[in-house]
Amino acid sequence: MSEPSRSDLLRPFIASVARPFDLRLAGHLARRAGFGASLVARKDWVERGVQFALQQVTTRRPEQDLDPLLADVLASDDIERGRAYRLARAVSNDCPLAERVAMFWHDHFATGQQKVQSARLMLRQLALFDAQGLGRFDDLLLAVSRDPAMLRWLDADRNVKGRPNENFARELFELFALGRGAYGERDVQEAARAFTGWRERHERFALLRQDHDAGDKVVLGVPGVRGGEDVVALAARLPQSMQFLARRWLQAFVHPEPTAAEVTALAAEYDRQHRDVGRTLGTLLGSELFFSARSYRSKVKAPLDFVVGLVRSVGARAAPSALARATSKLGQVIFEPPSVEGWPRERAWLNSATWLLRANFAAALFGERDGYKLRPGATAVLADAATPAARATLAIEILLDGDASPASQRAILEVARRSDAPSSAAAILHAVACLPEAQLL
Amino acid sequence: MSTRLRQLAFVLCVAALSPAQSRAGSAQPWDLAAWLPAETALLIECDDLPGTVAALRRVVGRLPPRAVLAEVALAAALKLQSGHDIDGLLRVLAPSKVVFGLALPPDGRPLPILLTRLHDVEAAREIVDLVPHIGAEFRDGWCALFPDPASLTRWRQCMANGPRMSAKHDGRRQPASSSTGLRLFLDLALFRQRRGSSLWAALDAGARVLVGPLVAALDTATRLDAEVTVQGDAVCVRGALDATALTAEPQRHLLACGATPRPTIMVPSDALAVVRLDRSLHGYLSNLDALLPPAVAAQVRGEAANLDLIIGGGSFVGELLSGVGEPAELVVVAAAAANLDDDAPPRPRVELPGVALVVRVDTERARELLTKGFYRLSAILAAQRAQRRLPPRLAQRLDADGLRLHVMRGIAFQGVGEPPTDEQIEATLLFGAGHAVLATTPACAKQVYAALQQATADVVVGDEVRLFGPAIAAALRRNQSGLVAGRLLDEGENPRQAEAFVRGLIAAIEMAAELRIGVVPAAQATTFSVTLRRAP
Repeated sequence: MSEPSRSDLLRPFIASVARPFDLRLAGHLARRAGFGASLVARKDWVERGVQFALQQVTTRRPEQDLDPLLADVLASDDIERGRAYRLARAVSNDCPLAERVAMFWHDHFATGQQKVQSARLMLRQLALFDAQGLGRFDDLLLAVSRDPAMLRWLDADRNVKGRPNENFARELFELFALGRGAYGERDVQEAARAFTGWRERHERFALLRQDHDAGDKVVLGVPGVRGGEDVVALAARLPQSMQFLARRWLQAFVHPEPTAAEVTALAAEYDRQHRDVGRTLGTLLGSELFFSARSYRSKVKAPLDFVVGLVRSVGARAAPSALARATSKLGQVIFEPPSVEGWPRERAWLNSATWLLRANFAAALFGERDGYKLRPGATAVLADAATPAARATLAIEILLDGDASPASQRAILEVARRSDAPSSAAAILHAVACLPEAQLL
Repeated sequence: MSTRLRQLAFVLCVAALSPAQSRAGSAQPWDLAAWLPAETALLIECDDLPGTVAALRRVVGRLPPRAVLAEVALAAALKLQSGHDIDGLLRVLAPSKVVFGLALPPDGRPLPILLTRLHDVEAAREIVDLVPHIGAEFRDGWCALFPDPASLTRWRQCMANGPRMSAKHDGRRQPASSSTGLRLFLDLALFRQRRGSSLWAALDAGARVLVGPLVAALDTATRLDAEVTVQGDAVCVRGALDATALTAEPQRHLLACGATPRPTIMVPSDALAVVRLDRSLHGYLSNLDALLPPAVAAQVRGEAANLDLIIGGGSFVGELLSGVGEPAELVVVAAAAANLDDDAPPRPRVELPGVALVVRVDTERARELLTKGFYRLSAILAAQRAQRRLPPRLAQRLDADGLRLHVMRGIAFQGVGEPPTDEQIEATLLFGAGHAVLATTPACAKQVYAALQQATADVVVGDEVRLFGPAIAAALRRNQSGLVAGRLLDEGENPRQAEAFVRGLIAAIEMAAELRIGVVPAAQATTFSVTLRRAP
């Protein structure tokens, strides 16, 4: 039996003279699939072509530098260290999609330290996303359902036989797998029974038989459901789940308001890929849809995108603990999503106050203040440009892939001309980071 | 380091590499007033830089590495294309005397001045001419170097406009008597004038307790004089401030013993550090209104009231602190040896050293309140742990090795993998040898108790901090990954850089057998000393 064909919307992007895979599109891929990439890397991608670039962002390499660090951070049981660890990964990883997807799932399965009260459990939940975030969704959903942090977050310890607590079952359907309207109240009540007795004990999942309701349940119209595993498997296989996830991925990677046709196309692709997240996203990132004008700069950067993006774009390293504090200050506190629905999105991130905070952050980062310890510093970043005009051009190329409006270019050139030589690099990079274009993903 | 600073460093490197010069030249009197403006706030004089560096090198071993200095000098010589070989450069620039001055002119910008006594003025002029952006003034066989021509101009204005070196430097023109000939003078009155506010005002409540007496002296002293000496395997900086906390109001209340010598406990054999601050918590809490701003005093008073409750309704200040012999001593010892049995529970990844606070107990009432407070505190901490969904650690009596200890102990860690670092903390209270020991682990309490039982005739005056390099290095080496993690997260280094830094840090610490810092208040002055003794 032949596999269903891929939707035309997701046909592979093929570079042409009319639509070359240029620095703009390389930057687009770097920002959306990861958290940005250095100009050197982006130019290399342009040189070697889109397939090479896709391979660079989607291939998981053996974890390099930072995995041993996790053990030390776990030992500290300190949520601030945990945040710094995640920032360190975001800044210095070389598997951008895995990192991006881990943070996507952190938003999707929004779990907060304030209630979990364990940095170790929060870090391990993120480690779960690192390990399984690009695998089959069925497996991920089951793992999350048994994740100790999630069990604490959604009150598993109150879910006992005869007095089921519906928190987890409701969020499983509404926020994690199906979306609103795809289930009824009776489904939630029956599913909650299936999850009774699921507990966190000593940082592990445990099934307390005495608290578990082992009777048959009818969930989503299917009789004979026994345990939580059955509910998870059932939900993950439903077409509504595929549509729900496809919409979320399109919102995260392509456009804030995907069309019905786009959702249907990606849901079909997800089904075709046997609910494998990595393969589905690989197809999406290599598609015409992803590189379309509709997608390009159609999203607003979240604080994490902005903070990490600046550091990665200039090809530098910086102090992760300071970057974590900056991200929190800009409104995105890792491990503390504001609600079970995760963080606000798109325009909610930007207003006059947050823009000012972003501008101040960029000034401190490039001005080497507030402990960000950017290395190499701003001056070295623009060292190859000898004249003010060359410095302005290079800064726009580094932070905006050379794609800025004429008005923005004039403004940056003006900054470059009036800045003193020693401070000009920081001033120019700061000015570029404050442009409207720099707030877009 | 900026290019200009490197250039100045180069000159010093060359000087340091030169063969030892005759001390005869350095003994010649010289006129500071001709070179240094009245606003000179910091003065470092070295009569014999090569000799000083050689003496310091005897103590600190390979630091600074001579090979590196030679490379710097050679590279700089090549870069300058001066036509001199390295020996020629040494002959030209090797000074017998070097003076570094930092002036604080009224314009607010610090003005650094480097003075060297030259051997070949003309050759030195040629070399300095080759260094771009540097400012230099030659006169009477001396050369003054500035980081840029603008600084040279500012210096000339200072020398022309105002009175020159004031009388504050008089009497300090003779070579030092020490083997190093390195002296430091700080015009604290001028610093204070430029700063415009007292250091004391900038301290928060905790810092006022810790460093308040020293800061009080710094805030009122007009000058600080110090001298570096090398004796055998130790290098020592000794100095004095012409003010004392003994008469400073209200800071004198922070002192428990003042200028009176007090006995100390024996340093445990595996100690990493001993901190002996002459502080009186009783004096602090009894004079809050004088020592702190009103709002902060009210806050601290509230916290002290909570302490009254914790100890069971007695008076923390009036009964407990009055019943102990302040000051307390803080002792840090290496963690107990790991149990390597196969069935031993997993140990935390980061090994915390034991920390103990030791204080003499004079009254039975104080002992009773300490014990009661310990048990009540364990109940409070248990409630806080419960909020974090952690099992309680309740205080319990533990009889071991003929000792009765009170230990906050809970169930063994049953989570995944290595336990969190703070799992190894088991707060312990022990009474013995007339003292109370409050420690982070029973093992630490017993180690300190063993030291308490040793008779010692040692006394101390003022503040003393002793750090033991090899023991600290060994402890750090066992916990390197934690330090590397800190560099990765707080400095943004990559793993290779972080590991190199930590290795270097440990190696440097290991070289010092002991670093001892002392601050002693006297009737009219405060003396201080920093002694670094090299490990064998």
